[in-house]
Amino acid sequence: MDWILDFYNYRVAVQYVPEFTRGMLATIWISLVSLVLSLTIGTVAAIMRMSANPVLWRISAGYVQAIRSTPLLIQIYVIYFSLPALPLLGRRLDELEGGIIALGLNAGAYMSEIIRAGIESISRGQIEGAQSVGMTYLQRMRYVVLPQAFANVLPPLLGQTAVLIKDSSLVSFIGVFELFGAGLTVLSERLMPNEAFLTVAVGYLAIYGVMLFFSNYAQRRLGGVRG
Amino acid sequence: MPSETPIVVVNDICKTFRIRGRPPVQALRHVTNHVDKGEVLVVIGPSGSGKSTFLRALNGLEPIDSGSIVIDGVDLTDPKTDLNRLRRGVGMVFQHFNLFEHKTALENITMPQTVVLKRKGSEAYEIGHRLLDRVGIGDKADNYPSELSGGQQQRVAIARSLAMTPKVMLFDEVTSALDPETVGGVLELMKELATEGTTMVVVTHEMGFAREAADRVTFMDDGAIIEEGTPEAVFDNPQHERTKLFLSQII
Amino acid sequence: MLSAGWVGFGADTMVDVIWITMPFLLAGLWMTFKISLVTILCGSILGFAVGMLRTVGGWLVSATLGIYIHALRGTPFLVHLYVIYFMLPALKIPWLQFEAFPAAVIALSLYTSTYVAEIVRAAIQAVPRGQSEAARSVGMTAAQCMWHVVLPQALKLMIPPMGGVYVIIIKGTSIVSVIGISELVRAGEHATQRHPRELMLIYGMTALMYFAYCYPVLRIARWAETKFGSVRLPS
Ligand SMILES: Nc1ncnc2c1ncn2[C@@H]1O[C@H](COP(=O)(O)OP(=O)(O)O)[C@@H](O)[C@H]1O
Ligand SMILES: [Mg+2]
Repeated sequence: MDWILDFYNYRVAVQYVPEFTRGMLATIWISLVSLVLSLTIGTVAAIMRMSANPVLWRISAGYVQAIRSTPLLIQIYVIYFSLPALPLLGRRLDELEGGIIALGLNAGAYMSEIIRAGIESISRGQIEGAQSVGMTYLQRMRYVVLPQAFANVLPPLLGQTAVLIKDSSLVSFIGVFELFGAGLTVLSERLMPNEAFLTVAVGYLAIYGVMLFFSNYAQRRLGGVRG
Repeated sequence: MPSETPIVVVNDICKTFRIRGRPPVQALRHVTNHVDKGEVLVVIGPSGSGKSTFLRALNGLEPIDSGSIVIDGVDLTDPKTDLNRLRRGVGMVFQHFNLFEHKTALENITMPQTVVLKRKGSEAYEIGHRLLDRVGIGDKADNYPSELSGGQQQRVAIARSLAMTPKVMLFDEVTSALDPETVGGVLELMKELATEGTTMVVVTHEMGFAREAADRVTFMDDGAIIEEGTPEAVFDNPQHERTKLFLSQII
Repeated sequence: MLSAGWVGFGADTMVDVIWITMPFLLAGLWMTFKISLVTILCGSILGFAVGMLRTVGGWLVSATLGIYIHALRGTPFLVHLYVIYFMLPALKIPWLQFEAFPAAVIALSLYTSTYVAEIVRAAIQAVPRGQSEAARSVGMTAAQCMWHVVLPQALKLMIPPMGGVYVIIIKGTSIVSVIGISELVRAGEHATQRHPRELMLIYGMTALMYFAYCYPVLRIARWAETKFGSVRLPS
């Protein structure tokens, strides 16, 4: 059994359970806050993108293009190092704030594309059907467009959330402690990369598994509604 | 049978579609018409002649450039008119049904009643079931649109409109997207509605239906009304060359 | 500039900083270009193999490759990179000993292959059933049908999402800076250490270079999509 301990010394991994747990909770927390932020930004950007006003339209399109064409790591650096240079806050952003804002802005661009596609997927005909029975704009949105858009959009939104969770590992670059950071701690203290990063991988896989379960569940539930 | 009270009065309406990079299309050129209470007006004409645009204008789905449309005394072109309120009184059945895909057949009929007319759920439910029986698919109440044939979906769409107790019903080529074997049943249903005294404007290519059910036939071409009269007059003794040509091609 | 009269080594104007750092950043961009090119090649070949095997293979092959894809998709690229970088030496292959470049390309290629595999599978499934039924009805074998009828049509559908994959790779290369490869981000970091007060400028330049590389690819992909149609790139 020695070769197992050689490859992966679980006794060491067990020693670091508190670190891994703290890291896991931090990852979940960071992802959750960034998710809420990105959904808010994404919804606003999607509505702006569909507006008839060319200024709003262009701002939203430019934002999405800029995010999609540059790496998240650079976005994190720019926001964490450069935003404090602007006399906005009067103080430095701390690492956590900078990281979450960057993650939220990044995911928000992808979310906005998903949300827009969802709303546009509702056929013109159904909207006219709703108009023809006299439903107001808000009633059409509330009873016809949004329920269906939500069903169409939930699976890709969950997929993007899984990406967001993985991407949150990059905030360790600016010194935020989370699941990957826990791995870095083990590496630097014990010089045991397998015990560090295989354990971290299992942690991410556990979160991913839960996401996958919800995604399948949602697909089955919502798929059923549309027959 | 038609009385002399007009429900719909259309006076000199024009509509031009302008799309950037394409020549403008004059879809309606000075169209004047009217529909009396209980009357069945059938609109025929070649494809692209403006029939759908005319019908959609009556429901306020297509804003017009000039002229006026008055429905049961309410001017549709008046900016102060609440279009949503007016549309409750104008039922519309589409070529492609336009059912709400996330609702069952029954819910398609009950939802607008509760949302728009604020009817009680139980009342809407009762009306929904009665109308589904009426259009001949009482057994499909709990099926989603994707589980119904085209003909069945179109019956649901008709029932959805009827549930709003409209003053006038508009039908835009409602059998064009149906399988041949289901066309007859839907036309039969429309004939029944006609004999029951429903005020109807019907755009169709089904000349047999037009002959039997219409009180008056209007022939449109290139955005204008070319000829109109009783079915006998238009079909058996057309006055205009374009009408003759169209009828010779279609029959 | 306020900084012009400042004492010490920071007495450069913004133009000077651009002038001085540009060669380093361009060298970084060149490295980014090389890694992304090698990766799209290796990753596509691997991904194509995985996708095909998953489509035509039996349930055991398909399930095994499913686990491969989920394991890679469920964990951050950063983790793959570290595991591979530290595990390679254990393989005791002399020329792979703590070499950053092969570690980066292997990690990126594995990551890329999961996307490509999904695209291949989706594209093959998007070819209408009637096509292969027609092919079989004239007596083609399954392999002939795949080679002569299904794949040519599927390949066209794969082209547009591959543009998206290429951009994912380009952006992914930014992360390999952590194992010491002097690509664009690393070059930028070095430059900021020398000119700490022009941090925003330098990272801005870096971002622009990524943009200049990625944006045309995205545009071409979009153009290809209107021309060939597409399957959706799984997120
Ligand atoms: N939304 C629209 N935008 C631009 N042109 C339109 C639109 N709707 C209809 N048209 C044009 O208006 C003309 C009349 O169309 P329509 O009323 O649909 O004819 P019909 O129903 O008699 O076939 C056609 O030339 C058509 O191309
Ligand atoms: Mg039409």
